[in-house]
Amino acid sequence: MSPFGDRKETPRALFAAAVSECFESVDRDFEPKMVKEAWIGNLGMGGYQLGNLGTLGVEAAGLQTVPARRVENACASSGYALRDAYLAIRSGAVDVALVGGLEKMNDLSRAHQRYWLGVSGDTEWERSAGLTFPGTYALMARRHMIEYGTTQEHLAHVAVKNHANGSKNPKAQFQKAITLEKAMASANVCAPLRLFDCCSTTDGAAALVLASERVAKRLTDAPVWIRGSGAASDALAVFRRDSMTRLDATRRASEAALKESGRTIRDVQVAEVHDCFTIAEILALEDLGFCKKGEGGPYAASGATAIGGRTPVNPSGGLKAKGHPLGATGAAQAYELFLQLRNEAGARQVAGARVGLAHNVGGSGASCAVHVLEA
Amino acid sequence: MAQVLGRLVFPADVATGAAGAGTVGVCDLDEDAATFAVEAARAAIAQAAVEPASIQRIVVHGAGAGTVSTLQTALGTAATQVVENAPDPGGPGSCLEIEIHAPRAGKRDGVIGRQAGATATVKTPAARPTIRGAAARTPTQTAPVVGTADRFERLVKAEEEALRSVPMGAHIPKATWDASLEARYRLLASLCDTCQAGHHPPLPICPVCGNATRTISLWKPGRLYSWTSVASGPTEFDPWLNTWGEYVVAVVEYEHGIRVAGILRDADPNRLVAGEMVEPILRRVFAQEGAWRYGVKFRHAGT
Repeated sequence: MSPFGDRKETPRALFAAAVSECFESVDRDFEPKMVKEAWIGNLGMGGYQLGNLGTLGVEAAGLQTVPARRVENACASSGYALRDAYLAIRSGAVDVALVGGLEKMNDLSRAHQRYWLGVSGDTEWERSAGLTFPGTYALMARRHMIEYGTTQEHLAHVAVKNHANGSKNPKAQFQKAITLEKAMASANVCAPLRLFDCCSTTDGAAALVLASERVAKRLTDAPVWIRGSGAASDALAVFRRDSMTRLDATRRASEAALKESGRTIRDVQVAEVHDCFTIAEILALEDLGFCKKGEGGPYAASGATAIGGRTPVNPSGGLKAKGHPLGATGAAQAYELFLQLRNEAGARQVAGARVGLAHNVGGSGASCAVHVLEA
Repeated sequence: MAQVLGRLVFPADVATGAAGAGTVGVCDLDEDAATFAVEAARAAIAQAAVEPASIQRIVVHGAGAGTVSTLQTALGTAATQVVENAPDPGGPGSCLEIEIHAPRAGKRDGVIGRQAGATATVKTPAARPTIRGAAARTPTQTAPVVGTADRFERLVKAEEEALRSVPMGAHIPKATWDASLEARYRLLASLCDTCQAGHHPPLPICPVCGNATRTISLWKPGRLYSWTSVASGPTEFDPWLNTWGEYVVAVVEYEHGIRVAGILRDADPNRLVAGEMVEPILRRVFAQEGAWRYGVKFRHAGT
């Protein structure tokens, strides 16, 4: 994974750095030419390489002839890239795959960014009502407050915890802890979501090598297995879903992934969830099953999700503190779990973690990919 | 923030009237002759207790082709003759018709301001004109207030900004937007009689059970389901933000699980209550390629 943040490197350089680190992290006997096919998540980076982004990626990675494609599902792009590569390997068609994600957002003007950040919902019926994503998530937050009494303070606890984790992650965009007061006093973005309830725009890239069981055993004695993969879709517009306080795509995807893995949510010891906004982490805690529906606010404030808590969530700092380069986030979540499950996460290590879950959402919940990983 | 719209409903034996003499209205960014024409026409039709589809002729004075087509779509009077700028305003109706006066903006009596608004009358065929229903919709501001000139200049500047090509606004092709006009102007929804599921915009086949649906209009008050006060939104809504500050977007709930989103006008975001009644209004939503696009917004019911 490249450092995340406001990066000066070009997209090619970011991706090359991530791939290079990834290849070096394979324990033994790995050669780049073993990679048979590549899946690269990317939303479009402002549009200047909408076509053949896959080829740009493998070219930058020194794998010019490897077949590649851009995978796109808004912020869930590289979660789906991971799933697609996993399915290809499970089918037997591919034995070694490169999975990655890439996004460069901070070289665009604010107006340009607000275009790219606002066409992954229902553009015709939701954007035209005056909404981009802070607005759609704010509508869910307001509804959650109405139905369950969730408070501004509950939301702020998510931001505080994730910034505390980010301060232990040298690759995170934001490395300073914040106080509850600072989070709750920040400026309005789309009420009730304030500045510190919203993730920032970020440049970054992440890369993973996936291998079939036979090849994996040659390359390492400590593989991280993908035990389950699930994905689901739901209505594009937040107000057309059955409930505005629940992401059914999360529920369906995680049920499928856990079922395939033979695990339950109680077996999951560490999770990287999609906290593009603080309310999104609260919804994820409920919809993944860490707590009951409606209790996400108090649960988030209880300390259960901190490193050292019952089930640490977003030890990397999450999208909030680590950053959210749209196409790269899904791959970066798997990267963090890879480190955690091999006991290589340093200051933010979750002690003894063997089972992890990655939760990657597109838009306001229109798409979702969940993976269960196990050491 | 905005003016309260004056509601003037004339008794049936009085001919059409304009806004009170000497009154100058300054309308907001999203209000104009077309939106007032639709409101006046709907009110006149309701008072006349006739079916919009039975109106055979629309006579329009002082408005452009855009206002006329907005009226036709919003009233659902597809098979109606339209006569613009007819030479005999106020004359006898030759068939069941509705007559609209919709003056454009301008200065009046040296006072800087804008008057927009419309009056509508529904008339039956007869040797003597028989007025069945009449209504007017105008903004009212009883006297020019300090800052009116500044306010007007700011409004004009914001409108010009909106009509210029907005960099990186989401480009919804005109043909795609136009295909949705009826669904927007009449808040059409599909209803499945088999499983009771509803959907806006209308879908011919029920997405839940696959049976054929029928179309209904939800142009009536609904319940406030959720809301947010927006300080950061789509680029194409910047002229609104720059002129008036934060705007409130509401999600409004109707029966059969249908929810609609739209800006809630004249709302205090700190005093909204879930479940309160809001009603749809037709307003300018944003501009693209130098032309206004109209759609549904909401206001507190009964205002």
